[in-house]
Amino acid sequence: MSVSERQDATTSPGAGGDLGRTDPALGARASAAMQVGGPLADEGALDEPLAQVLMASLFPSQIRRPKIGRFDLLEFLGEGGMGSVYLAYDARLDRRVAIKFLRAAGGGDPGQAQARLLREAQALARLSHPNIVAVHEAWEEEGRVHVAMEYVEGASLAEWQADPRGWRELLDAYLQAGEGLAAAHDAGLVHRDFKPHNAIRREDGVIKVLDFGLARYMSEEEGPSSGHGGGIAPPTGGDLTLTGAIMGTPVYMAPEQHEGAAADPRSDQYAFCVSLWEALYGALPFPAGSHAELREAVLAGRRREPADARGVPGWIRRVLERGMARRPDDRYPSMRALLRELGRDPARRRRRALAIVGGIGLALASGFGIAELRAREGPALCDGDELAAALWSGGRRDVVEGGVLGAAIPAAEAQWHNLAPRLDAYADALVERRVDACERHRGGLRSDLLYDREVACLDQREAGFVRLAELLAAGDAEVVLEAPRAIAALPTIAACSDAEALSAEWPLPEEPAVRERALALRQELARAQAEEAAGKYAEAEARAAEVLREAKGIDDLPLRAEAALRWGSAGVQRSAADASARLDMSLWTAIRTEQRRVAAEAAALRIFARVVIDGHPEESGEAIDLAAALVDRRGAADWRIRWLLANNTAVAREQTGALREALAAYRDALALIPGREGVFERAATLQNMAPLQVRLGERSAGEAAARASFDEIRALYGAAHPSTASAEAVLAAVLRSLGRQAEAARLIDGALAGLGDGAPPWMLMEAARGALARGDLAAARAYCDRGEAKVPSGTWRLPFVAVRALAAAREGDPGALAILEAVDPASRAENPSFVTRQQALVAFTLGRMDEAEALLDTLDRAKVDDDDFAETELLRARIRVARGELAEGEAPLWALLGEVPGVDGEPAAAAGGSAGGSATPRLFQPEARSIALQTLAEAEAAAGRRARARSLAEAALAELAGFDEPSPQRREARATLARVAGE
Amino acid sequence: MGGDDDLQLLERWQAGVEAAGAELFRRYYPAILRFFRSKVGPQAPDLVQRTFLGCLEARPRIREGANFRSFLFGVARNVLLMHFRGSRRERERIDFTERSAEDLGASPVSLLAREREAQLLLQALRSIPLEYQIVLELYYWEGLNSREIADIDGTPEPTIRTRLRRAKLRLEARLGELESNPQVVQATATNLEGWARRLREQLDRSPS
Repeated sequence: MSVSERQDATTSPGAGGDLGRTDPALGARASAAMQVGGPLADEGALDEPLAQVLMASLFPSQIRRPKIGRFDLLEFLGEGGMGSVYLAYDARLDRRVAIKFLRAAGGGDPGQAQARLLREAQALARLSHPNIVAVHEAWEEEGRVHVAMEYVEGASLAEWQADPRGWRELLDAYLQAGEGLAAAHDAGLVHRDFKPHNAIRREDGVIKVLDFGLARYMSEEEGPSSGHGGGIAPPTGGDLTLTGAIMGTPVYMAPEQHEGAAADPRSDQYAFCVSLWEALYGALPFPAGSHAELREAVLAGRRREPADARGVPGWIRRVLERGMARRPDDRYPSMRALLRELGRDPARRRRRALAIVGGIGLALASGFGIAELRAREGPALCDGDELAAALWSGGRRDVVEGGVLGAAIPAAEAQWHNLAPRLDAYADALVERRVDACERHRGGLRSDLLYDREVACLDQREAGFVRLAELLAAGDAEVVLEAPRAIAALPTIAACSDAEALSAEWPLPEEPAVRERALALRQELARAQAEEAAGKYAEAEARAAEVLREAKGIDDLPLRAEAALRWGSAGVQRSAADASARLDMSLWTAIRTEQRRVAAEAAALRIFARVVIDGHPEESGEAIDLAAALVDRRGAADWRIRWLLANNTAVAREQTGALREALAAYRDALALIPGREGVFERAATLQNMAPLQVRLGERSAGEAAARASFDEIRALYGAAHPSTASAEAVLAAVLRSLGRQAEAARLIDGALAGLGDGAPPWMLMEAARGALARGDLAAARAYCDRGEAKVPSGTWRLPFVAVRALAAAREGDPGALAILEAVDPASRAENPSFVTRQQALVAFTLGRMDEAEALLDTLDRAKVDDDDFAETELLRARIRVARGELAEGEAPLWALLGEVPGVDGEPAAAAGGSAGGSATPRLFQPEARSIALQTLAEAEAAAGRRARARSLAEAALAELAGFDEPSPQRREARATLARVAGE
Repeated sequence: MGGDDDLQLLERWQAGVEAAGAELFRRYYPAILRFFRSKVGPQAPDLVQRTFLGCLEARPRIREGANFRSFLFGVARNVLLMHFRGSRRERERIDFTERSAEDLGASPVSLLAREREAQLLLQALRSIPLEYQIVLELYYWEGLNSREIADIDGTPEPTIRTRLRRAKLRLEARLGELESNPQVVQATATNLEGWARRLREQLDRSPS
């Protein structure tokens, strides 16, 4: 069809094929607008999806989100000649998709055109390639064809190349797009409308071609269709653009298409070459001042010289000229042949090899595999300098530095100095291992099979590393803050050279195309893992879910197990309700495929999901046994998996009250972490373990663990980091419970000073409690002021009010109780039992025993946890002893204390069972235990048993060993001793 | 609610009754979408949304005696100018009596208009200064009178009438530059009047 015919077709009545035109529901105004505004009219109607989407976001209570098929429409993304594009959510597969609403157009029977369009779109759904935007499904609904496709965020190549780019970078991008076209040609599909607007460049550099084969069904008056991530950008260059785009000039169209002949793969080749030419030289190869001028030049094959060669080598130009030959027969026989020519540059070939091993997203199509490249490009792979430049030192490092320094965090520069050596070390190790592998292979020391696996493994490591680098380069504050942990969590490179582990790995598919795909998807999983490590859980989840879907497509069972594992693992981080189910899927699949590492990791994570997310600690036994069996079978497994098992076992045991077993499991976990690695893992386990040790009476060990955890975190994150401040505050809390109040105060003040206004409420709470414990009531009130300003209401406000009331009670202020009574009802409702317990304590401190007891009587045991219950029992016993009800007070005190060193307890009472989980909970905090003993001493003294009273008071003082001297607690204990001994 | 007057609806919406807002949206959405469509590209839906949200914040700016339509187009105009200012790199001052939608990077017209004459007209509209484009479209497409247009940003009515005259002259001159075929220019200029008539009839009939 000629240009003039195209014009004619659009002006003839009815040719527009606007389905909305016959819609009786259109408002009068909209139909009037249609007469003037053409296509803008059909979207002005209120029952159109656009209006519905807008109304649903403006008036959520009135208008439900419109649905199309099973998809919820979320946002309008853009529009092109083909119709509108929406962002939608697929609840069934829990992912976002882009949905195109296509307008069938063109001559002939509209119904038939529609049917053809639908068939074509459905054919696309069978095409899967990393450089093609995947079409998930296509269907007809309400007289329109809809296509749900992969949602790709990024700019179109047209937008991307509008910024200045080097020719190598441009060529790399187009080679990827070319791979997409070639793969489609292999499947018998022709694009028919390739242009820079029809290719999207994802953030990670992957190029994806869009809208295959739909062009011929499009509305004839076609504008540049937008990539669905961005807006519509005019193509680059001068005169072509404005007129060209405005008139819908087919500037990328092959001569045979101008002449109305059918497009074939060679027409795509032509359009590809015009696009690349434009990208490289910044101008189209043909003058495009008007339709007529363009058509004439194209048909005559009269090219325009580039005004500026921009340093593009002559050989590229010669390749493109052949690709744009007037006669299709004079072009390259296929896209693949063209791509091979474009890859001929010796320097380029090396770079290409690097791009592949670098895993920066260049996924290979069939027939052009790693083996082929290696045969030609062996030397480059052994060249450490080139590898390092491509991976890291040649520019990426600078970009990452820029991102880190630009992040909105305090002390960004210090953070970069902390991160740089770690990133350098990982990059160095990666390059070193590649060179080593390459040389060993060349020297015949490594078999082809093992070498392939080693390279594939290194490719995955690199994909993860590069993804992390990209996230850092983006300057996201949270990612930059979490980066030390994320770097530490990158999988070890050394494992890639473990021959035994490699040969036990998943089997590579035989067929080359499937094999390349499988490798590319495994790199995707490595990216998901890096995202998880960087705290980008939602991204990691989405990526893993996508790989899982694709793995089903290529029937790669081992990959499915791995993808489900990553999906579940990211889900655990976000406490996704179905995290257990995902891990189950991974576990059972991995057992079937004998992937021991995957099975073991899934099983270990599953313990945590079962116990903590599902809230089924009673099921932990089975989960632990299964995981332990799998981990044992694996033998010399990655230490991280064994650590994970031990740590999660400990968490499960602690939850079920088996505290001794939990502590033993934590110790196992620590022992599994190798010397110089696993800083984060060690810190995490130590932080879990320290309070448990204090609780079990291993006070100095607990203190040592808390200190070690703090040291590890500080070494990992640096001194000025919020995570370091948090660890400092955790250490302060442990020290406070051990009576090291001066040091605790110093630490917490340091942590608060570092955070400034960013201090979280729990930290201020710890500071306030610390001040109260050391008797500095003014400081306690000052922290309460800061805390209350931060939390105007809710459960976090309550502890501040409690500290304030206790401080008042210590001063004998009779208004102390009123402070707690004045808590706003909403906050109180968040934790009524806490408020009641604090009221009772305040009443007791003020000497109002009846009131205190009445308050305790209102508590529901079922709603008070064991530790808190122990505290209330202590208070109740103190009330009784104070009233002189000695026997009633003493028995429960013995039960609460369990064994007391140096004091003969009452055997009956002491046999309370193991700590925790028993009917009578135990007191474990030194201060509480000391108070219990002092209360017993007072009771014994009151009963006239002075010697026994004295030894109890001495034991009370002994409980406070390690407390600061002087401290209110020791002073009190000594006063008790003097009192009972002096009588 | 269908019979309520616009200002009552606005008041109820501002008091939190979303149903009232939805009714206003139904009444004015096509016109507001049209307003943005002819000036910006695919960002139009976003600006439509911002305009309606803007109604919730802009209540005090409703002029004494002005109607809701003027008020709404006033919000839309502000949203549009903000959009163009925001999309420029520096916070340079843009004179909208000088710069056209095309200067400001609006996307191609071909998406919006199919007929050759309509395309030409749209292209011409977008290449004259933005204030002229706005005033012409409100007058011809939306059927606002010069008093209502004056209410939009508080410009005196006589100024609007002058602006309208100038805008039309500018538009015709621009049409002549774009199209060398005098017949097409003639047809398009006639068509402009034709739209105005047809649209006004429609707008007069519709409830407001």
